[in-house]
Amino acid sequence: MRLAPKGGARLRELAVTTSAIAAITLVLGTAANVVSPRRIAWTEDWSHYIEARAIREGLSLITTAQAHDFFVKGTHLFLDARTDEEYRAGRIPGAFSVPFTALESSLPEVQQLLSPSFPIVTYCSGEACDESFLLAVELKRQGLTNVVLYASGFDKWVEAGHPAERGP
Amino acid sequence: MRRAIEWLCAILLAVVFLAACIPKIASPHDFAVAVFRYQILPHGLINLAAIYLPWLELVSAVALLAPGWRRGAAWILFAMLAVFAAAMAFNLARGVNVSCGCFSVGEDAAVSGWWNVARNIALMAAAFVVLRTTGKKQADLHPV
Repeated sequence: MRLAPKGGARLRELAVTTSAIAAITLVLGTAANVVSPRRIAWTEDWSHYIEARAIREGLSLITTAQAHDFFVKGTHLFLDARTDEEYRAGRIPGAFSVPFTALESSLPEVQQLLSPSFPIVTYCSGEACDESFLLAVELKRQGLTNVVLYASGFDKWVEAGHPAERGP
Repeated sequence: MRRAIEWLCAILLAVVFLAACIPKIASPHDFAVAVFRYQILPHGLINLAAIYLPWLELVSAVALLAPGWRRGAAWILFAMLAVFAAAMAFNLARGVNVSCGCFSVGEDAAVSGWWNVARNIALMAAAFVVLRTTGKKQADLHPV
């Protein structure tokens, strides 16, 4: 007797195994995200995330490696958007202090040094702060065309072992 | 010979996906950021993808090593690889430079390029071989 390949049975078997894999995934993923100390929210409003806001504003973002590359090559001016105290406590070497909270007094001084297309990097502490984003938006609004945002900020810079300087 | 090729491709895929899922499971937030940076998924699905996708990779990779589960696992991995390749190609085509998020979820992971798309297509070929050879073997069990 000749038996044809049992296509229907194979499809059923495929459906059973893929469903079982999906079910196990669901159980393990759920369990891990319930018990793990690194669990994350099931859903999150990413529109408040600094990178989402930057993308909406058409700002370019750079990573720590890119920021370090610009720093080493000396191609960009780094603007520190944190408070003066934070700036004095530690900053990317050579960065100018432009605290967003005192923008009216600090920005004109820097603007005198720059042409509209001068490459600028803005940064603050990290992704939890938005001063660097707000500063970048303001600089763009004032006609500076080559502004990039280092959203990971000074915390990641230090974490990566890159140099920092302190003092006035 | 066919059986050896089937096992070779299955082990290759299993190793690749096991290596890929570990950093994602270890750092779900970083993986969520990597998914977000692709700018493809609706925001409401980003964390869910970051929570479940690595486990789907892990379970499928393990299942691939069990002959009875192999076809199902190979189909899932094939589909995942196709989706990942399409997402990377889409971003490369529209000029969004993001890291692959494949084996490292750090912000400084290398920006993905067409090499990553080609690698995924090569892995899809391996999954296809597994599907074909596993299918043949099963057909042999039901002689015509």
